[in-house]
Amino acid sequence: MTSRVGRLYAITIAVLVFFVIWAAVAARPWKTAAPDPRLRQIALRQQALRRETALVNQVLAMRAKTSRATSTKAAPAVRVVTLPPLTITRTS
Amino acid sequence: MIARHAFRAMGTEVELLVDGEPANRFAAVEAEFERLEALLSRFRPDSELSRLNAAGELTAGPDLLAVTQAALAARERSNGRFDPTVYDALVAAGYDRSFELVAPTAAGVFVPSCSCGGRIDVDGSRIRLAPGVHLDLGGIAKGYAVDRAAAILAEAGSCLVNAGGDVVARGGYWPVGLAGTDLVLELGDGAIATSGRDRRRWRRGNEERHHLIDPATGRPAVTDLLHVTVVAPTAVEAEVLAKIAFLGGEVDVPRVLVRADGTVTLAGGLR
Repeated sequence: MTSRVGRLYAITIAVLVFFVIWAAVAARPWKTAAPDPRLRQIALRQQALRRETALVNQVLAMRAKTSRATSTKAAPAVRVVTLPPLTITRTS
Repeated sequence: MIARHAFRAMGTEVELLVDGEPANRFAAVEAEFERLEALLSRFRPDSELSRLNAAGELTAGPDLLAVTQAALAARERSNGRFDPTVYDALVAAGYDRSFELVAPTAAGVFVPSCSCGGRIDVDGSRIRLAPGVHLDLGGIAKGYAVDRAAAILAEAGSCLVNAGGDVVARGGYWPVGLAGTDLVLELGDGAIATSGRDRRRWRRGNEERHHLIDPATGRPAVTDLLHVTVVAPTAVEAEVLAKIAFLGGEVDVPRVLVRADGTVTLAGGLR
């Protein structure tokens, strides 16, 4: 009786140990996981967005510079007069 | 006492007026025009611009870089109505050499419409043109030269520079007559430029062509305007705005529009 119960325990423990080892081996802990292609795509998109942001900032800086240059320049004084001209324009 | 000096440069007559003793300023201005023409002319095969057009990319000197950046800023601001990439369209229309050498009439040939608006990248002093893109800075380089000339001449006193219709006045007030009208504008510290189809024009067959290319079509612009004169702080800005106004774009500066039927319209605060 005792030896039968002991054998049953031994078999159960052996089966449990077998499955635990099998699960551990099946998980292949020595191998690094392959990167998820979706993560790679997200990383690529992030890089592209960073490049686009830099370009947009460049364009905005150029526009701001042009705008500042235009606004700080005084409008030229001009009016129609009846004086004799000192020079004459022409189509360039 | 006003001192006056005239010479030819950039395919046009240049007139310098200075209220004072010009000393060696006239010679310095002539040298500056010659230097800039040697760099920026599309008709000189050894110019920096021609080398850029031939190679597609170049580390540019400060002048070519400044003019290219000004042209790109103008293209950006005008949503492409001013465009320095009209080179191929100009050549296709027959303006393939200095204007004095363009035959005024010739047998008609088909003018293909050329696409404009190609990509130009400026990275530091490096300029890169997209494949098939060539630059023509004729619409802005003369204004740049006139601005530089006025800065040199202004050291001698109140002055005016007139290079084939691109006029800059610095210090004092100068009466400037507008060709093709009876108008005289008194200009103080500013610039005047005129763009039109009444001078640089030629015929191919039954078709009249001119040098103002509409970037939207790649062909000489079709408009009832004969020429447009605008007033702006600098000659570069005036040249750009005159072209934009001639091509039907919105500009908010004093201007005179002359139509083919002779109608003269003053706008932008002029009356």
